[in-house]
Amino acid sequence: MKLTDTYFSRYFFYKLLKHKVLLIVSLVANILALPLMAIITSSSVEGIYNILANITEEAPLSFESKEALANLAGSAESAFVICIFVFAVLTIISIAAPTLVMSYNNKRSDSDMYLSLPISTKGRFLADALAGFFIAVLPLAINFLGGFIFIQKAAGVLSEHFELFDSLGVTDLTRLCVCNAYDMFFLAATTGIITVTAVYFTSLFFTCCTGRRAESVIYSIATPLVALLTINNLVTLILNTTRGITSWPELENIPAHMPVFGTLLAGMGRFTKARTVTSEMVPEVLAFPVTVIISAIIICFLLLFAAYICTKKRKAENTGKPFAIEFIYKVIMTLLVVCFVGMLVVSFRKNQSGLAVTILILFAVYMALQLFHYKSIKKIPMHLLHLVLTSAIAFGGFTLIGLSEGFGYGRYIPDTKQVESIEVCEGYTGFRNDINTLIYTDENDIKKISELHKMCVDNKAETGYWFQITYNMKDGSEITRRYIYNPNINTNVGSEIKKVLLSLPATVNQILLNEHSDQLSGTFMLKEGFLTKELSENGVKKLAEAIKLDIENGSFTTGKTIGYANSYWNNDDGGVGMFEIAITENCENMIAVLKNKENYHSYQANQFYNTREESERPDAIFIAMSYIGEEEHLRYLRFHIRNKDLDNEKVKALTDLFEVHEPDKEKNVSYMIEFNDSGVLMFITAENAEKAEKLIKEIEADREKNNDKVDFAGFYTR
Amino acid sequence: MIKIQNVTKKFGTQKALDDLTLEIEKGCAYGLLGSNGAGKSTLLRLLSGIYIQEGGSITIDDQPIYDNPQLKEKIFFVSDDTAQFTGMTLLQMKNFVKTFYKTYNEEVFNSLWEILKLPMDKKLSDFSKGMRRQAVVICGLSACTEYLLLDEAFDGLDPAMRYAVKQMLIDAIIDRGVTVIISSHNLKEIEEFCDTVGLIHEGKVIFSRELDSVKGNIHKVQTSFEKELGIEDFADCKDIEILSIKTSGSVSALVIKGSNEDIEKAMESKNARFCDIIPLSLEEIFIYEMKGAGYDYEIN
Repeated sequence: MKLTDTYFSRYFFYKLLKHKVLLIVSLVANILALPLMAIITSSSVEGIYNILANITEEAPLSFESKEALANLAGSAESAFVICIFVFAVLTIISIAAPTLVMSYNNKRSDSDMYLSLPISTKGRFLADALAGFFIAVLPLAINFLGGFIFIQKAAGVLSEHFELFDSLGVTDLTRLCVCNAYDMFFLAATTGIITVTAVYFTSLFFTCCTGRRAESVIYSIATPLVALLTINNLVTLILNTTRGITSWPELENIPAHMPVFGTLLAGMGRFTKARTVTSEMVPEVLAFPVTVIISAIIICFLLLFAAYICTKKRKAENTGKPFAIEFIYKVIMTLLVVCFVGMLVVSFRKNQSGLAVTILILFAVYMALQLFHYKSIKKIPMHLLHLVLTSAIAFGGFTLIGLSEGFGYGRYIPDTKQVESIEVCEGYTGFRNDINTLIYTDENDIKKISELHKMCVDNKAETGYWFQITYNMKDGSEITRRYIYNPNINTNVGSEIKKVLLSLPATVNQILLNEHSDQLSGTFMLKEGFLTKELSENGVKKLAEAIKLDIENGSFTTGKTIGYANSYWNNDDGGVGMFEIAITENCENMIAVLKNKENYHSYQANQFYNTREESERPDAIFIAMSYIGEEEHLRYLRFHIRNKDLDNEKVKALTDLFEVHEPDKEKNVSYMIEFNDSGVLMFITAENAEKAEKLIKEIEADREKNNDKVDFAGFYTR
Repeated sequence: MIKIQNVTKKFGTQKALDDLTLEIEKGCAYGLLGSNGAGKSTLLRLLSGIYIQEGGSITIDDQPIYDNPQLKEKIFFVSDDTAQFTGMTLLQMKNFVKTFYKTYNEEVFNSLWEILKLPMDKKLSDFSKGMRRQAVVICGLSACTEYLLLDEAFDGLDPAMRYAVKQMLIDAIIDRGVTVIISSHNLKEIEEFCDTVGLIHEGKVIFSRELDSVKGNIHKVQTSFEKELGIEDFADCKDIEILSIKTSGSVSALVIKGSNEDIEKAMESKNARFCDIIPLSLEEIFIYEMKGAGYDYEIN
């Protein structure tokens, strides 16, 4: 039997043929989107490769080469913008396709024509859904495959030249397009394809439950937005009302799993984030989360199923009415009220100003929509009742969820038997960093840290220090929470955390005996600044031993903090790693090691600014600081150069003495210039330091003579 | 055979059909009469499987029609909505019917087209209302289905075309035994074309009978009584039903339901000076029946 012999296939092919123009537009748009982007990007990458290959031989980079590089990179950016535009067109097609293919759902005359045909409701629905899918979604495969084939030409990436593009003034977008052609392609493809597909199924659903084309289009766009806002409000509310929880990734990630807008924002968020991170981190940031893809697929199937149920339940006489399935309209209106109430609760939880205006807006929007829908004022009392009841229930629900910390899930502590390992980040004791964590795999360690988790849950506060714990479960899942506790209110919490963490051998091993421990340094807090000592290899070993002794003596948990022992290093992913442990005045062993000159090879002093205003003075170019002399005899130099001083010959001569280079730790006296806004550090040789001091004295004298005194200028000696 | 039993169809709170029961024999030309909003179009849409009833059952050849593709192959519905098929040319419409109806017959189409000579490649939106109607009817006839449902089929047709279309339908009934159900306000056409008629009012069937039986059972009587009589004066005449009495001078005009013999007997019993029995046109029957059903319209 031929395929065309069945009614289903006859109907399907008839519909495809009927909407051939839309199909052709869709095909053309899909050919233009990712393949075009991939072709332009890959040729740009190829061109850039050629230029870079030449510059290694004929360095420095010629003006022409710079210009050619910038042009090539710019064309990749244009391709990306075209790709976004074409995806916008595809989104419109995916909204239009179901409303056109299932025109009998929104056009009375078509309803008579198609519903009397000898095909079952199920067969008609599936054939139409498939025809729409062929028009709007299936060509995305050509889009993706075409793009994938062409992007392969951009073999390898130019990430090592990120800095070069920066120096050429190439924008972040282009830098990403060119340097991470593959990753950008997959991010654009995943975001675009999921968005277009989800839009198609959303539009399909609304075509099946509405009776007019306008309603189908409007609600296809508005409902996912309202749904996303409602979920987002709920998440924000739980986090806001759940005192002391500042991080709850499972919860925070929910909105990203809500197509269409959630997926789109997730993709755009990754793209935006990728523009701000180092080249090494870009691939990880650009990778689209698999759970978001799975969630989108599930939601699309649910929408398809819901659309079928609506088709079965809808009555032909409702074609031409705003909604054929009135229940869906009621759900949407309820969702709208819940969304508004969520916004009200989130926005006005602490500050009630403007509350009345927002309630008035909700009332006006709600009533306007209801009147437009029913075109009758008779039902106003019913609408008011629905509004008041829904608002009250929503308010009650939101409050209950917030107060119960997500029905107790905010207080959830996993069963330690199911935990593979625990990662800890902590702010009070000194393990304060967002990047690195202490990892514990020992069963007893896990139990002890789980107890700390319970203590944090019981002692949460609005302000204070944070304690972040991540459980890596045996089933591969991950549970992360970050709590705020206040050691001033619950004094035992901070000391207990410190005591427990420092009592675990794994802590000391990870802080002191890691592969980066040779970079251990100690910092003392001084009156006007702080003094950092870079320890020698032998010094590191001694400090490690001293820390162990002080831990055994319990010195870390008592007394005033006077400094930190810390270790910084560059991670493989481009980030900066850090472990830091607070030194108290009772840590005798550590202080002794750090005070001994033999244990360090260099030191650096930085000065505290007196006030925030001082550090942000708009007219200041830089403040110079220096350390001269022996330890404990610090000499700070604070010299303020204003804009108007820039033409001064002596100031020019002074700034010329500073160079951007690494200071010689053993010999040179390090003068450090810190630009107010940029934070660029400049150093000076010992020889030039003397000249600089002389010049500063002369400039100061000139200023005195001209009655042009500058605050903070002068020398401070300690 | 079409069996409609106790069918109720509601649009919101309004009942379009209320416990309606009707039977239509196969091979007949059935005229569906009724006032505006009586439920004629609703009934045709129920019969073509577009609508689903809230109560009762509709069977065609003993099978329920709703969502029954096999049965729908036997039915072609021509809607009263003139916007139907407007996006297509006649050629496209012909192909549409050809695609979905296995029984489609090209020869039938060509023979009908020869009569009407409608443009094949012009969009139906550019046709006049009457031309559109002709186009849909010839496509419907070409589908060669067993049942043809026509909603206001003669609406907008000029007399010549009305005759032509009527002739086509009659030929279809004679040649293929097709069952035609036609709703129309043009009672003259129904009278000329249909052998059975049904009258619906406010969703209920007032009557459904063969046309001859309908026409033979209601008469206009011109007579003269010794004194002026009212409807109540005929209460003792059980075999007839007086629908109206109008007296002008000594002459009275009565509309009476009943056989000729019963009417003559009744007139004799009331000492009528003379009795002229005149058959009513379908239009007059329609108006008197509707008046009896409470459709308030005064006929002069």
